[in-house]
Amino acid sequence: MSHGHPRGGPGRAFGAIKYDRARSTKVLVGNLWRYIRVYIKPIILVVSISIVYSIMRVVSPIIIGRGINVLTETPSATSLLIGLTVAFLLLTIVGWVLDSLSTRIQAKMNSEMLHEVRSDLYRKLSYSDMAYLKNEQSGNVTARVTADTGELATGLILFTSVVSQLLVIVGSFVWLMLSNWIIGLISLTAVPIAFLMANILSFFARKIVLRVRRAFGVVSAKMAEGLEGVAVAKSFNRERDLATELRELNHQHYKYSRQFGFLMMFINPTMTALTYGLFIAIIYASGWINQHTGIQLGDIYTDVQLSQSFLFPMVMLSMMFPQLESALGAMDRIIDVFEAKLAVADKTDAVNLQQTDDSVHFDHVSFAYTDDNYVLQDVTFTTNAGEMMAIVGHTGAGKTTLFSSLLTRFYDVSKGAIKIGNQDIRDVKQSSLRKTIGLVTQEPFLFNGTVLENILYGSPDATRDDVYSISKRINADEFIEALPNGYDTVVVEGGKKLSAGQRQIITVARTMLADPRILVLDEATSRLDTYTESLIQAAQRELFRGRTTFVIAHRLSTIKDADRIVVFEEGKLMEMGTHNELMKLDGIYADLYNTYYVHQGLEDISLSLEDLEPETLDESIQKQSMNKPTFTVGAGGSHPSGKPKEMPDKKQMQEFMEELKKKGDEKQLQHVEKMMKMMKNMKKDD
Amino acid sequence: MITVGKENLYSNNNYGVEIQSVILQKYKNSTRWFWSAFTRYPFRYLLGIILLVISTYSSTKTLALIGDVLGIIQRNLSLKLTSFLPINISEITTIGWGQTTINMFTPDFIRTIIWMVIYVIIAWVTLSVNIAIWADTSFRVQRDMRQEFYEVVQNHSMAFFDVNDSGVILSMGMNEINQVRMAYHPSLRNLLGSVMTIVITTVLLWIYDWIIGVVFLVSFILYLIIAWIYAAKVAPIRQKLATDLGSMSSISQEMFKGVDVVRSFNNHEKEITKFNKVSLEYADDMRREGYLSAFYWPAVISILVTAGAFAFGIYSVIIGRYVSIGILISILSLLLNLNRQNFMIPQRLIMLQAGLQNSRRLWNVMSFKDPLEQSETPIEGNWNKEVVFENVSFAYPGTEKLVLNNVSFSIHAGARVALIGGPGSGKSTILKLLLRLYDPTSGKIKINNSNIKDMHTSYVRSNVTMVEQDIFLFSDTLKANIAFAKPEATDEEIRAAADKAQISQFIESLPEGYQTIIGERGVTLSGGQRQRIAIARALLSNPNLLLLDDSTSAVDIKTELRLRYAMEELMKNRTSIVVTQRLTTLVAADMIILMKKGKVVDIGHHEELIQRCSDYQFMCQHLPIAKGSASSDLADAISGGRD
Repeated sequence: MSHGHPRGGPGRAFGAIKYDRARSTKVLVGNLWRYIRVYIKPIILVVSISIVYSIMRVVSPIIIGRGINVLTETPSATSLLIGLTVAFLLLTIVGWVLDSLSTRIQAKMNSEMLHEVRSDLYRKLSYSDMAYLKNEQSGNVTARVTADTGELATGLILFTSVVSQLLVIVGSFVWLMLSNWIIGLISLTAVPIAFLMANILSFFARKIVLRVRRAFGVVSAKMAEGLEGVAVAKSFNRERDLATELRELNHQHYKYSRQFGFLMMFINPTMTALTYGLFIAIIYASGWINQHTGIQLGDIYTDVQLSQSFLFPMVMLSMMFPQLESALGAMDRIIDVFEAKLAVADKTDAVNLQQTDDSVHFDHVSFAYTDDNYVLQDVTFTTNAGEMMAIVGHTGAGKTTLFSSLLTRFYDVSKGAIKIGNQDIRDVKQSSLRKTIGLVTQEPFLFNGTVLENILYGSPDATRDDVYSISKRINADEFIEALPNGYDTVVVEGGKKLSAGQRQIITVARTMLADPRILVLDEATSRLDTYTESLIQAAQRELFRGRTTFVIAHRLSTIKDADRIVVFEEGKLMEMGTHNELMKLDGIYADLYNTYYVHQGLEDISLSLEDLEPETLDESIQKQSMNKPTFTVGAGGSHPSGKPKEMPDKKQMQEFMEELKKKGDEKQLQHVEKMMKMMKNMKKDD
Repeated sequence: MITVGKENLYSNNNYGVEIQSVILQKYKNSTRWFWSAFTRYPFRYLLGIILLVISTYSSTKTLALIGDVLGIIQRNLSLKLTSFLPINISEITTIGWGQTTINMFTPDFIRTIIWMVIYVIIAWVTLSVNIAIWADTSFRVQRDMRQEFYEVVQNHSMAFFDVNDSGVILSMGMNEINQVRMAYHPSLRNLLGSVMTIVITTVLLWIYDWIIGVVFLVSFILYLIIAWIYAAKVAPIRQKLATDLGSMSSISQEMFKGVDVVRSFNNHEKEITKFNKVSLEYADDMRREGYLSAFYWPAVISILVTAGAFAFGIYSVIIGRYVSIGILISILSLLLNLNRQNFMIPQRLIMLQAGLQNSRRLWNVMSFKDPLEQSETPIEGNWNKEVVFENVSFAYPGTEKLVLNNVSFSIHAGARVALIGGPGSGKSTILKLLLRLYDPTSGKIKINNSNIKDMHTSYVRSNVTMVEQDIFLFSDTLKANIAFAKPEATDEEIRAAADKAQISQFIESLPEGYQTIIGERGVTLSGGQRQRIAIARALLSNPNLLLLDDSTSAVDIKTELRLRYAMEELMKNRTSIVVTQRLTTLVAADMIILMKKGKVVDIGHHEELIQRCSDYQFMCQHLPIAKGSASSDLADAISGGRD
């Protein structure tokens, strides 16, 4: 049975981390049933084979023992010679065939079942709630699909193995008892010793394995960081020091691994010694038995052989249980996914979005990710078809949520409704909705593949020439052609060789190629340098024409191009109108404009360093980076968070006022006070 | 001798031998690298092998003694049968309840039992020590090889990192090195144990019955050969399974990371199909592996041999070839023990094969032929003279396209140079060449007439510092990040640098101050803050030549202001080359180099270029100053003169 065993050895067995399951074993097995059901015949077959095989493993030494008995009594029977040899040969060959057969059946069954579970799980995850995927790290979600399913499969193999090991133990023990009760009792005394040892060892092993793992993780993180930041290390000639740091951690990992090695040294030698000690005791006892009652030589032989197939399975079993337990834990986590909330689903009577009217209506829209924690409150406004709206506001004002998540229907609104034309977006098919809306997200995300494949991602039917022409139209061609292999340059690691701005251009090209009628650009060109952006913006104006466009804007020039400007603050729509209208209003927009946008054109900043209030940590960035999914492998370095903004909040503004008072800058002070008053008034209006 | 793990692999001379050539010369090829464990720690492994021989002999001998002791029992029993004849009265004793029986505990019985116990104890002790030594040494080898791999790879030039996914390299350095270690411990140790058991069993069998010994020896050699061939078949599938799993998780990670993109393009099904393809491939390989290991043919050989020996043994007893039935039992015990080992051998062989394959892959990465070569007799240069580009052309290694085409210019010491150009014009490539991250494909970069190609990279980099646009900081303390350029810097120096970079105030406002950890386990900094940390870092390195990529995106007024002051401090008193779109920087520059599609369009002052260069005029018009701002008068801005 041995080569069908799961690999990994005792280290893996002890490494099984205790996991508090949410479901009982019965529920878990019940859930597994729909996969098992299909394979019920092969499973029965495998289990019966392993029963037969286990019986044969016990019977085989008994037959040999019988043979020896006969041989000692009538040492001249030729028929016996033939009979015994045939019996032995038959038993071993049949045993081999059965074992091989069951391994083969299991291989087929397991691989198919594993694929099915994986595939179902992946599909489920692909369609599951956005919030679930965004809150879990992508590494964790991936672990559900790869590691947990693997563990489950291992558990299934183990299960049949447990059955057979148990049978061998029980069978051997029954024989030993039947053959002679004294020998049976002697064998029995070895059991607690073996168990005690297995328990003590696993107690220490667990601790050490955990320590080894942690050390491994630390080495891995260090190496990841070293590899990611290799250019910086090279620039500052610090390779040698990084190597030294790694060496120390590496050495620490070695020290823990060595501890584990030392601990493991007890298991095999000691179990072997215990087994050998057991049969020596049996032989010695048989001398004593013979002196009093009598035991046949063949029986002693059988006892000796069976005592050897007795203790090891027991230790194996005690190692298997933690693994089985961890397989059940994996199953539990997998069911969590199966039972997780699905992303919003199409209504059964959902229709295609009509292609006639591209006006967008936000009708008293409120939204909370979690109960009552509203990030958007009662937003109402209408965008005419073909209109370009600029959206401005501080970080965390709810702009991204409204346009990137609700309009695209990644989530449903909590209250109110969003309509395109006269259709509520909840009544249309999501596929048709997303075909209509093109989204360029804040963080440029590229897939592994060539630049060309990335641009084609949303439009698989487009040709190479289509890609060329769209790139030309957005002025990206010059840049893409300058890449080492032009459009066929391979994007490695999400585009580590490209600058953030270059990645953004590619994502813009990807969306524009899909030719959506409604566009959402969430700071889509924020990472470009000013010159390139101005080139691209000129081209974009052409492309936006005739499309309903929402631009979450960071650049003065974009705002000025917009037909209307919408100002958000803390989830509420505060102001709306053209640039001139809003400036006249002298409210939030005018303030934002004066502190943030206006200097973008000015080369001389009127402030001096002394005018600045102290910087603080940007809380909104802290929260964002916590939720940012990251690759588990590259556990190290931290890349720019892509948040070029540091806008003042109320507290900062108050501090600013204090400072101005101290300095006696009357003009500035008046301006700020006016701003503050305005903000208060706005609050009252709600 | 170079000992990794304890000491630094680099020679003390910074500009001396490169680690890659040291390792390549030392081990020559992957096979020798793999087997180098024995030359790294010869005595430990030798001791391990000696102990293994002793323990294997002892445990095998114990098994052989089973037959002996059963033979003695049989003899004693036969004495009991014949004991009614008064031949050996002394052996008949009378005990307690008046039964007459024989003494089973004859001296030879006791002696054999004692020997068995002694052998078991010897086997137990020696095997334990053997495992401890073997495990310890193999973990040492793992540590050393991992270190070697990392140091060699780290020393590859950027040409390597541009095309290799660092996640893959990481997994090689961690997991595949683990595989190599597992080939030694437990695989090789167990394998050696099995082979030794075979050898010792052969010797013992030979003593009991030479015919069985000969047959057995021949067939087991045959067995090992077939087993090795079998393992060679399975090992690649194992390898394939590992890569399948790798691509499965990278596909899945990618999809979950970019889930909003996937959804907004309605591409769920496409992604699911992509995943299913790999998952199916994995399942297929898993099944193939299962099928192969199911019918493990070499096992039949050992079954047949055992059965043959069994028959021949019984025959020998019947014809009286064996003096005692104990011999048959000994032979059977030995053979059945081997049959148990039988099942271990294939798994171990497969792991050994896998270790060899992994070491081949690792070696391939380590022996990467680097296009950037270090001069064997590196020179130094005078950085207080001019920096010259002489007909420099450059294509990224492995590609044809020239991203720099015949670029020539000369920069005098202390000059402030502004580099300007559209996307893909080659600006940042010029910076990378000056840092000697790459060498020009043709042409020369000279510092006072010395080609930097003849200088050691670390010498060049100790004189040149670059502040990039995308800033990489380590997840470490702020202090460590600033002092990254100069680890021996004092607290005062660090504070002074942070002060000049306009970041000290912010750092000191944090509860943990300079000890604040940044990155995943600490606080996240804004883009502007990161930039100024990088400037502080560069200030500490105090370079002769400063390279600055200042392609700013939109920032608020305060960040902008702080950045300007910080950069001003950084550029003071040194030669600087700045990639910029800032009009003030352009106007103030001693020299502007205007690039377009890898070529130099024009070189000169702002006033010169604005007069004569249409490309420059075009660019200036597209800089933010020209549009919409309070002072939108282009002429005013561009003729604003130099300060």
